[in-house]
Amino acid sequence: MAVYTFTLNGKQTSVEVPSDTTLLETLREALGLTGTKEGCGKGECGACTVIVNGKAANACLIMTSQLAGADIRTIEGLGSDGVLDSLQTAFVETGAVQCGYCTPGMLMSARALLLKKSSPSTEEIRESIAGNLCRCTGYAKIVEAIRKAAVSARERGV
Amino acid sequence: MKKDYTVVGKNIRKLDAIEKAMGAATFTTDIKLPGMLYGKVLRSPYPHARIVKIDTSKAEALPGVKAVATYLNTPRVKFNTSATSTFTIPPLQPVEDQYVFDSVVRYVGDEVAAVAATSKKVAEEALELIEVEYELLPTVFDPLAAMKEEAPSLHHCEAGKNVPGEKIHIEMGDIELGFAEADYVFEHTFKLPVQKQAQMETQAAVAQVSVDGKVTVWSTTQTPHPSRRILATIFGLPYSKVRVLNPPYIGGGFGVRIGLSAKAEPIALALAMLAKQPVKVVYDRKEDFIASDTRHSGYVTVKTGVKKDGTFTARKIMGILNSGAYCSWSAETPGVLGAMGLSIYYCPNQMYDGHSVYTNTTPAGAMRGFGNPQGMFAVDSQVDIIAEELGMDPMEIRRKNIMRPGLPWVLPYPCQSSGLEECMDLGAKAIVWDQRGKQNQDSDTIRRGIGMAIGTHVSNAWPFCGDYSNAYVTVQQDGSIQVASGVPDMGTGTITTLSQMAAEVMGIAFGQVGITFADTESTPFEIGSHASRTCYASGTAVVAAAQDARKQVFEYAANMLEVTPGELDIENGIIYSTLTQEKNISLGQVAMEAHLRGQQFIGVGRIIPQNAPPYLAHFAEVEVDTETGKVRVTKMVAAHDVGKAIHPLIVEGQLEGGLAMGIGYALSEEIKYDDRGRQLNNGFHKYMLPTAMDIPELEAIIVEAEDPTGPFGAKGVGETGLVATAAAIANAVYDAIGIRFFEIPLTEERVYRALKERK
Amino acid sequence: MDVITPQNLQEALEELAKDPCAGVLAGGTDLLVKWKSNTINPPRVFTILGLQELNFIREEEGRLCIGPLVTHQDLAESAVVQRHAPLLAKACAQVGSLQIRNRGTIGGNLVTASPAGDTIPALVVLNASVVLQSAQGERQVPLREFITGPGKTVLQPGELLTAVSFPCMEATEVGFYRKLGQRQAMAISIVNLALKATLENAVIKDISIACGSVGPTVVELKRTANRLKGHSLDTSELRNIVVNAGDETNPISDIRASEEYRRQMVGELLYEGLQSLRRQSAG
Repeated sequence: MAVYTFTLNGKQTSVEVPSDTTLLETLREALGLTGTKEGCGKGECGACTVIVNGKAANACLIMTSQLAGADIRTIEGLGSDGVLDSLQTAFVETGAVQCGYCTPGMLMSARALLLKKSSPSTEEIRESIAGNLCRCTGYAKIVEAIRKAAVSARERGV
Repeated sequence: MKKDYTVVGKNIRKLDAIEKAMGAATFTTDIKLPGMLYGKVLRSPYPHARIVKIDTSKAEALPGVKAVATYLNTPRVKFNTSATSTFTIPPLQPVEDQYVFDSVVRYVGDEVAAVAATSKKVAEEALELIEVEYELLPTVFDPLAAMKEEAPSLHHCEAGKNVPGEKIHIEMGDIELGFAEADYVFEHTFKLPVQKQAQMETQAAVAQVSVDGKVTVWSTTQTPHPSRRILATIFGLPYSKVRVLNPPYIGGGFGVRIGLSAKAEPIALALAMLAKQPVKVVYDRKEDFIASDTRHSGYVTVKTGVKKDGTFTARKIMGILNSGAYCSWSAETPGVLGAMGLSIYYCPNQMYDGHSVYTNTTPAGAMRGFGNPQGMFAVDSQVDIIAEELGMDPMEIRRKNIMRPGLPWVLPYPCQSSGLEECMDLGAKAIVWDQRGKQNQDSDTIRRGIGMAIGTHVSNAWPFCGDYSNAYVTVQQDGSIQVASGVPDMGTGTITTLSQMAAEVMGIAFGQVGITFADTESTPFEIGSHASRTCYASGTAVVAAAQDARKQVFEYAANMLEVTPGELDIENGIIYSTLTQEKNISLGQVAMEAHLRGQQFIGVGRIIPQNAPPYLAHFAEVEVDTETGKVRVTKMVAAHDVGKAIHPLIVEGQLEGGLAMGIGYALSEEIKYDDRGRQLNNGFHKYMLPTAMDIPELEAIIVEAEDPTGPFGAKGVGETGLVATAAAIANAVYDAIGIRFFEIPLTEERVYRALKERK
Repeated sequence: MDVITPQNLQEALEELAKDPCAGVLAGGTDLLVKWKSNTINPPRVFTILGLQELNFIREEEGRLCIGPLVTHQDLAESAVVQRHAPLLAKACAQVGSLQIRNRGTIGGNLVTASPAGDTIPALVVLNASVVLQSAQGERQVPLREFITGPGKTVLQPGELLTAVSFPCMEATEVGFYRKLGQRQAMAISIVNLALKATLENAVIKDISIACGSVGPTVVELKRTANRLKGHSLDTSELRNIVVNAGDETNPISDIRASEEYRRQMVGELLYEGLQSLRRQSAG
């Protein structure tokens, strides 16, 4: 066991876990943040996508011990105090949420994209979520929701 | 008199969407109870073997291990993991061919033992300490081979060698006469692959036994009530002492857990009983692939007699499906394949023969479409072949032969609505059907094509198995209402749709409806989420319950207002006389008045649903790269007659998801086995689910031919999205390159090879 | 498995010297998958991901030098790489998914030495070499000699791959990279192919061709390359020359494709590549 310290959803966080604990295990088991889902455990489905230092990553393939000082955002860090952020709102209003199991990872991939690019093309949107499998939606309404969120953020000048 | 709906037909925000978008929704995999142990399963490495010896002592001695379960210390009660055992209609008998653990294993992945330990790691370590000695038994992997006399028998079967349940025979008219009347007879055989549901949340269950023996199981089941029945039977408990519920969300289903979630529930419960502590069993993705039901693979033969003018005179379909090692839904699936394959077109003389066959592969069970996508790939590929032979446009031959309301068919309920022709016309317009066959130059290496296919489906499970629903609608003292339905919401928007219907009937705002669902303890029996039935059948029960409550309210209010109940109506929570508007009172006032006098309005809905056919026309536009064989779907149009769309956005979501799954079925998804019975595609990097980059623009068109039997005229929509997708794509590929495929998926290699062979 | 975090390269090399059998963990997109599948279970791994001295892209005396910890996504987006080796940027852009490209590193891709590795054919036609460093010193090895078999390299216990470099492409050179997978993303190559050629008025003066997923290591199509030299990209003979290019490869049949299809695709992708070169030289 060792103590690892990083920034999690804007707050400095320390956690004591064995050095071979994945970020996914740390989030779900040690910190009780179950919003990040496990779909395959091998980086093949994207359900556990979180944002590490501004970039989308699979939490199942990162060791917590590799994250000292890192800035990590999870689904629990989108929006604030129960208020949805623009992407979450777009997902809810557009019908992009079905079973909801891919949704947190999908939202984090989308957020990482919009952090980098405020006006992504449809192709760029599809590319950014190509690592997130969804079996319910056929991706149609997810792509539409991300597009809408990008437009609304632009309109608000965010 | 039809008034404008205020809630039904509106795209109201889904009840589950915010929780899910915030990552706050609870799934079975998220549950953590005090003292909870982790269960892991030891699975057979062999496709068929007898366990000669099993020694668990070393595993039991490992610190942290609290229980080890095998066939020696778990109930010897046979069951079927699917819900079939709950609603097979006599005189048919459900096939019960599985134990929690058995001394014989019948496929690679079959359960041998399970361990409950204080951590997943310890449980996994303990599995390696279990010593098992196997005696290998002969194997068979192909259903045609398994029917032969020399094949090993997997189970005792009455209907034929390795045939689970019954052989299905369906007949109408005089098939021989029909073929005699035909100018041409066409016969083709098609081969279908194993597809996997690949829902995002793997099979999972958490079982807890209270000190007085009461059992609670949270799980990923699509059918809590039938699952409760199965568990109570295995463990010899009164149904009333077993509670099964979703927690309340499920990460998808698509048929894979109609009944038990593979064996997650009984294994978790067996371990919890042995350990006397709560146990959580979560399948990893590989286990979900190898040890949880798939779609049926198999062979479908279609023989059609046709007049020169394109009129069908006779159609015979034969289906042989691979059941895998256990029956699951294999007795019912061949029936749906045949009945749906026959019922899309009107044809006076029809026959179907079909059944499943046991083999030493992963069990096949229910998957979205339930036999229908298999049958329709065959039927509607052949219709295009016939059209070309007769020099007819594929649209025209279909228009000439489609089933229409009032015509006879093989199903025991009448066809009372059809928007199929409108679906075909709207779809053809959206895809620009006139361009078909005109898009390629001789020198093009990327060739484009357009194709279509049509289909129908069911709106609940009857007549293939029993189907009924119950629901309560309880008026609270403030005039808000509580709906109770045993049906899960696995992402299909069911709780939103049911709440909309209840609000509409009660004449109150959507926000005034609360719903309890997917819990055997707080809801009356309800079959569950499958067979495209939740909106249609569960919805009918909720509507009936709401109507019952509304009737009670009106009787009470009529007394208060000194009018007759028949003249009352309710809008936006205000009950008023349609004769004298000034006579009105709010639902809340009536409910409170009744409450103070010792009465609550409790509506009960008890229904046996009729059935109704949804209809669909799919149009695919493809590009085939003739240098690599790669097929890309560039546009997919799906026009569906869903009856009344209670929530159009949810309906579109169902159609789009079905289309994507159908595109995968057509182009890339397949589980193959090696010669030792091991799955070759047992993970997401080997099993090619479409990604966001593989799915083209999807256009869902809703046609609303309301059915008199459905709630507000609604019909089933959960499965229709992939019924005709593979056939439409294969027909489009034919248009592009002139090659007809009798087997899917149309992988780059299969298409390339066909292109080479033609040269 | 103990995960140990050295603070700098020096410390990493010293630690590795003491425990030469320990694993080296970078982006984890390969090692952790194997660990979770119980394919490997090293008692100790050194995670080098935080060593910034191994994360660089530099242009030095006509060569592009890349640190092993540069991720696939950084390479795909790098303006320098796009200018001096566009085919490498393209190859990196086709790896796995964005999540994998954001974590997986170029060094990891090379050391993993998968027969299907997406960046390897691109780096081979670019004449890349790698720097292998240990506590005792360093050596430079041509990439062609670095990988010796599936998952096998000449990396010695205690050695760390600390750089990969290759000559920047010249103005007269054009390149091409193509991956054929079973789907558009998150696919392991059925075949991948990289080309680099020197052209003079659309005539091929020099060309190198490398393919992945068609042998235990990257296969260079030397015979085909020789036959192509001196031909104009406009000639109608190109088809005939490349049609049997796959005969130079040694693929296997697996779940993704048969041996035969792979051979055929080598010819098809090569032809496609030559067409692309022709368009590049014209435009």
